[in-house]
Formats: sequence, C-alpha cells, structure tokens
Amino acid sequence: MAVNEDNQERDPHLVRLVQAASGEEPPAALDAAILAAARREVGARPQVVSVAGGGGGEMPTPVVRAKRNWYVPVSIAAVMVLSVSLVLTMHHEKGDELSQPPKTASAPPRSSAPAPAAEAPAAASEKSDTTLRDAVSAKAKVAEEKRAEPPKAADAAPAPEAYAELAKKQRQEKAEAAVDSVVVLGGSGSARKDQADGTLMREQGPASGMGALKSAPARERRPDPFPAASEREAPAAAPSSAPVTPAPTPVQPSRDAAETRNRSDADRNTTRGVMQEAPVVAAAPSAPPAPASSAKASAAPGRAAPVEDSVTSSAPAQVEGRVMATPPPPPARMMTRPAAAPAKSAIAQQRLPLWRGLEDQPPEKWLERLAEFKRDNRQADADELLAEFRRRFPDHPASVR
Amino acid sequence: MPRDTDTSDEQLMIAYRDGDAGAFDTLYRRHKGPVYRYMLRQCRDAGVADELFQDVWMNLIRARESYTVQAKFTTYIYKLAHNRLIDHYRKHGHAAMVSFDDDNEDAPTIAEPVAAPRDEPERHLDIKQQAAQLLELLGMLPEPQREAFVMQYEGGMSVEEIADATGVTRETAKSRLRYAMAKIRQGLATWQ
Repeated sequence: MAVNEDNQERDPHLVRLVQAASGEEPPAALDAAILAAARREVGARPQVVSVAGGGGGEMPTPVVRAKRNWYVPVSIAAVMVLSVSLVLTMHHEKGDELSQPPKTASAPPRSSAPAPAAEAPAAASEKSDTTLRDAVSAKAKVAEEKRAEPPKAADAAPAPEAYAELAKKQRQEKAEAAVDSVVVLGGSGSARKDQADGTLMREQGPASGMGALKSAPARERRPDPFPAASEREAPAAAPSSAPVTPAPTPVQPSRDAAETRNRSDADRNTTRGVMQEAPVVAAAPSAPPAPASSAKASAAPGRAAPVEDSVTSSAPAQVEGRVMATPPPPPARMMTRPAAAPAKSAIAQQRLPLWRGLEDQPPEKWLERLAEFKRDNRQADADELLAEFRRRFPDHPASVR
Repeated sequence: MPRDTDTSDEQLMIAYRDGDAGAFDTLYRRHKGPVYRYMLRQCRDAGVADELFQDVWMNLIRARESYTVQAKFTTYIYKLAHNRLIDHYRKHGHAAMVSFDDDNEDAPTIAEPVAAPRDEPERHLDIKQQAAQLLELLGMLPEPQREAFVMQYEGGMSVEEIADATGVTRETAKSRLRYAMAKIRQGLATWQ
C-alpha cells in the first residue's frame, strides 16, 4: 500500500487491521472482462510500434502507438477528388442544359410549328392570307345575304320538283361546260384536273368539295369576279328590286363559326362558278367576245342563265325571274359548283388581284378604288377589296367603320 | 511485457493511452483490490459492487485517450469511483452521501485506546478478530466518513487527495477522517 505524507496520521494498528480485512477481490470473470475490454479498446485501432521512454528515460518501453500517418492525407485526397469530380459533373450537366434550352423551355408543338413555316414561308403566308381574305369576304357576303333575305325563308327547303328540274339542267350544263373547257383550253392537264376535281366534288358532296377546293392553290380559289361578267351582270342587276348595298357592316357572329365559313365558302365557290362560266365561253377563241357570249347566254337559257338564277335566286320557283337577289339554296349550290370547276383554273391564271398596284399605296388609293368599284356597282369586287383593305389597314377609320 | 514496481501509475496510464495493453494490466493489478473494496465497503452489496467496479474501469478505458497527468492516478481512479457511486445513489434515491452533515463539532470525541502488549499467536488471532470488528465498525460509520477512511487506509491517499477525489475541501475531508478514526478506535478499545 502506498504511503503518503499524511502517513503520520495513519494508525499502524489500523493499517494492519485493514490489511487483514482486505481479503476481498473482484471475481476472476470480472477481471477477465475488464482486461479484455481494455485490450479490445486498444486493439480496435491499428497501432504503430514505437518506443516510449518510461521511468524518466531510464527504461525505454516499446509502446504500440495508434497513429496512422497515412490516414489523414489519404482522406483529404479522397475528399478532394470526390469534390472536384462532383463539381465537374454538375458543371457539365449545367452546360448541357444551357446548350439545349429550347428542348426543355418550349413545348414540342410550338417548336415544331416554326420549322415548316421557315421552310416555306412564302407559301404559308400566302395561303394564310388567302384563307383569311376568303373568310372575311365570305363573312361579308353572308352578312349581306342575311340583310337581303328573310332569315328563315332563305333556309327554307325548295320544292322537290323544282330541285329535280334544276338538277337536270345543271347536269346538262356541266356536260356542256366540260366540253367547252376542253375545247377552250385545248385539253390541257389543268383543265382536265379541274374537271376531275369537279366531278369528284359532285360525287362526294359539298363537304368533300370544300376540301378539294381548299387543297387547290390559293390563287385559283380566290373569288375574283370577272370584270366582263360583272359588267354584263350590272345592267341586269340594276333594275332588280334588291340591289346589293355595299354597306361595310361587320360580320354578324350569330351563327356557328364553322357553319358560317363553310356556307360562305360554298356560296363563294358557287358564285365563282357561275360567274366564271361566261368568261370561259367569252375567252374562247372561236366565240365572239361580248355579244356572242350574251347571245349565247340568251340563246341557251338552259346553260348560263338558269345556273346564274339558281345561284342567286332565293326560291326555285322564282329561278327565271330574279338575278342576284338572294343566296341560292344549298342543293343548287351543290349542283353548280362542279360545273364551274373546269373554267376556274384558266380564269384564275388570267386574273389578277383587285388590289394589284395598290400593295404599296396609301389607304387613300385603296379607298379610291373601292369607291370606283362601288360607282361601277361592282359590289363583290368592292367587298373583296374592302376585306383586303381591312386586313391590311385594320386601324384605319374606314376599316373600323 | 512485465512492469516493475518503479513504473508509476501515471506512466502506465499514459502507456495504455498510447496503445499499450500490457500497461493497463499492470495498472489494473495494482488497484483492482482497493477500488473493489472501496466499492464493496460503500455499497455493502457484492453484486452492486461488481457492477460499479466494472463501470469504473470501463469508464477509465473509454477515457484513456483524453487522459493527461493532472493528479495522481489514485486520485483519478477514486474520483471515477466516487462519481459512479454518487450516480448509483442518486439513481436509487440514496441521499446519505450528499446530505449527511459530517462536520458536526458536537460529535462525541472518542479517546484513543492504548494498545496493550500481547503474545504473537494470541495477537495474530486478535488481529483477525479485530479486522472483523473493524469491518463491522466501518459499516456503522456514516458513508462520507467511511469513504474517507477507506480512501486513506485502502487507497493510501492523503487528506488533500481525498478532498480532491470526493470534491470537498481539505478541512471537510480531514474532519471526516477524524470522526471516522475516533469511532473506530472507540469500537476497537474493547480488544485492547
């Protein structure tokens, strides 16, 4: 037992008694457990054998030191390598994202849409312009027709007998027109194609005919009135009781948009077919220009005049007497559209837009030409020109009115 | 590796801190008896003493890396033992170690008995009997006094070391020792 400086206070007799009483020792199992734990604690860490001085340097004692000199540098190096690789990976991924922003930023339809437009910008713009122009003019015509006729009477179905008779006349007329177009165009491929289109439209009905017309070139589908026909129709329309007044009223959005557009397109095509038929005849080299055509029209009322009447009259019963008064009933339109198809392309090739020469002119020039059309009672031309004017100058006061 | 007796406890502990398991063996062999008896005297239950004794050494093993020589190793190990014992008392609602007023000046002073000369065989028999009597007297002492007495006579600690290990002032430790000695001598006076 250790003896310290307070030894003088310790009673030697008590010391002997304590030594005699100190027979208790910890159990051997406890000793083994503690010693094993001590060794396990030391053995858990790798050790490096080193020599440590003991007893004030008198007895060097070999000591296993638990130092790993390579542990810290390797850890630091590993952390640095991982960090650098992570940063590089993130930077690379970020660079990829930045280099491809449209893939993630824009939706596929939006990104795919400009590509075709860029490939054919002229065709697309022309097509869209034509479509828009057609739609505007058709709406204007629909509004015009609505004003001219009673709302419900126009949609009233004609008598079946009148339809049958009218259809018969139309068939004869188409056959003759086909022959004329072949004669006039010398059997060109375009005429045959148009004729074939017309036949197809007649067989498939108005809906498919619309599709065929829409697939045709835009210039051919534009409802440009034939000047000669307009001039020829003008005297006939002048005495009529219901001349078309060119009031530039906005299109009434009461009906369904699709229905209105289909109907207006059909009306326009029908009108075009009627009005283009005469020029085909007039433009024929063998036929005399105006008198011959008028004579032909008057001599053969079953060809041009009935068709024109069928297009413009409001009821089949009044087919013979009225011209350009009201829009035709749907069946008549169906019949007349294919007949006009063969001459359409030939005319369209000869026709020029009404606003030719006005593209770069100020609005005043447009208005002058519009007034000129109105003065000449060319209502269809005026409407079309007005529609184009509105499209080009939407902010002009005349367009707003 | 065997250690000689000249290697101090602190050197052994430092050696063990640096990974020398053999140093711990030597250290343990030196102090396992006194520490165990300290625990056994204090809690007076062999099972509890075993548990507390193991905890003390396990705490020492776990704290080996932070060990620095700030005092004698004996003070260090008995401080661990004292703290473990206090935790044990607190856990089981035993408040004697912290509430006992051992500085009572009014405590009776026991006169030191005067030892009478005896023959050797007879004396040897008496020592064993007196040792048993001493253990009984120790059990009758207040725990702080008993702790101070055991630390001094089992651990060989000075008053200052006892004060340091138990967390009291030197005077308190000295007073505890004085009272303990007086009671024990008074109890052993009948044998003398």
